[in-house]
Amino acid sequence: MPPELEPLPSASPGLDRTDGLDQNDGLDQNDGLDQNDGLDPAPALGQTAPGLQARMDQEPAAGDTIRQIMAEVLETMFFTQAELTPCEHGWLAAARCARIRFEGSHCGEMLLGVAGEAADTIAASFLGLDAREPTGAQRDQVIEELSNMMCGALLSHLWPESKLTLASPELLAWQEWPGTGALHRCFLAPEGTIAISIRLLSRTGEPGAVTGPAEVAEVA
Amino acid sequence: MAYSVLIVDDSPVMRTFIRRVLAMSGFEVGECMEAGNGDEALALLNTRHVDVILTDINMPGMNGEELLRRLGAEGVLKTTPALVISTDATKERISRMLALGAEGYMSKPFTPETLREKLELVLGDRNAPRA
Repeated sequence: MPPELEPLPSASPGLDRTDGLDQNDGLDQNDGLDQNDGLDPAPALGQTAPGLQARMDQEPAAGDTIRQIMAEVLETMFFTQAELTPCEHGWLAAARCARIRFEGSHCGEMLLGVAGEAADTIAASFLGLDAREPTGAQRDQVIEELSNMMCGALLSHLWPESKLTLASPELLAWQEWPGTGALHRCFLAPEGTIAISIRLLSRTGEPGAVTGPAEVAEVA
Repeated sequence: MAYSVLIVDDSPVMRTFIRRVLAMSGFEVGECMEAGNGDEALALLNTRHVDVILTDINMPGMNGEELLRRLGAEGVLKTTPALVISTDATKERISRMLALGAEGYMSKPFTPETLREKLELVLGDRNAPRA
């Protein structure tokens, strides 16, 4: 069981839950969500929202959107390309990883893992430096920035009518999220492999409906 | 003639990236200043001339929303336009920042060409660059 969703660091003091971030505000029935998504009364802490779609892997557009956003972010901001690749997770034990949490109309978290050698090269591309020039701190900041861009762009594309607050990214070890409704993809860039997982959480930090097997991308 | 630019972002690597993209875009930049949050930006704006402000939203200390609120209240935005750069492209966020007085909004990822177009749009012809 994952730890409870802690209060988000208030990087944006004007946008906390006291600032009118009603969970249903801004959502209408044309935002690509299941008709029940976000339109039911928000669950109180510790309660299950009846009919609330809480599995990212069942969000119809999420898989294609992750692929599209990853390609766009890497090409535009990191001057490289990546394609979906089968998931082989041995490398993730030594990967540089960042987690970013979000709350508002939807609560959840996204995890990004970048293979060690790829992290250095991607950081160099972002900063316009040679591959060995970025410091460890710069590399980590670039990974945080990549996770921030991926998460923000992904959520904005999936739910453009939503109100969301992203917390500051945190560097940590990769976590596998089997059976939690997480959507997971691996991408292969010339620099190395990149993994991304995203899942929705209830207000108490519980994963969404834990009703099925782990959903891991199957790539032809 | 070149414009003086103030980049407000808590991420040093993002500030470096924006500087880099500004250079790639062909936009004429004179002095390029940096601030890590709204407090630092206000301090700079009190002592330095800035033609255009590029600001993030989520920052520790004074965030981008509060910065715009303060700049609007002080009348700074009438002469110095602000372009918001954020990962958040939700309609509500964009509307909110524009309502606070931002002249433009650009979501990440963005290309050098997009940055230049946005800058030319927010600057219009109301600001003659001094730098």
